[in-house]
Amino acid sequence: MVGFSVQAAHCLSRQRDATLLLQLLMQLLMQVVIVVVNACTRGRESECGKTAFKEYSKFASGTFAGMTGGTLGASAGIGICFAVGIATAGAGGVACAAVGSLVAGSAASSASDYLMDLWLK
Amino acid sequence: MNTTLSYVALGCAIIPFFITTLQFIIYLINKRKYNTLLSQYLDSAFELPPLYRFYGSMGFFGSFGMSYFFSRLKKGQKIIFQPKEQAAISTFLNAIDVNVTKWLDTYYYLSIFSLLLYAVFVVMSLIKMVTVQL
Repeated sequence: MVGFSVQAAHCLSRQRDATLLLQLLMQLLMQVVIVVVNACTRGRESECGKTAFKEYSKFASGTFAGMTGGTLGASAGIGICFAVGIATAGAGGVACAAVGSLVAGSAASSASDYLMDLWLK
Repeated sequence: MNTTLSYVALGCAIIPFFITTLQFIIYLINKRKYNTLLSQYLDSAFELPPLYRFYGSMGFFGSFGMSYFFSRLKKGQKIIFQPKEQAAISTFLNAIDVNVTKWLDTYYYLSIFSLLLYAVFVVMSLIKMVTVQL
């Protein structure tokens, strides 16, 4: 989820990217905070610290994985288009990069959550 | 042993996020220089390959890719999806004011370092997955 939203931000214009990135990350962070607050207030106080560490770690890892996956996925997208024979010059190449970025960013973020669960059980 | 490994793996997964946060601050400080460099390159006769055109239009999200492009080409090193006039671009980038391009090297090395750290986390996780299943 984190990665997908971060990748959605990939498609935003660069003029306002700093503000939008901050807004987006704050929204995502708020979702994580809500999960942690729920764990700390609904009769599971003993799990509070553990849940907080787990959720914030997953947020940090997922955000980085989504961004990096998006960056690397763009080059993979162009590479695949080139290998398949789709014209990569002009707008076609940029479209391939955008699709690769979205797919890889989402996949990387989901994979990050899965891998983090391995260590946070 | 397992706990130590867990801490190392989690450190490798989380530290890159903080490095990226630091990079975001560096990017904000140098945003004007970044846009100037990009404009100068786009105004030149050199072609910007589609991948880097995509990165160049993505602002902060594409700044990692663009730092790779500028930093390596400036040193005359090879990059993926290399433009045809590599040597001429290298000369062009070296002719640009050093103050505009200097920060990109640090930025690029930070990206590589965070990527390496995360790669360690991924490799450790894959090893753990395999050992758990055996």
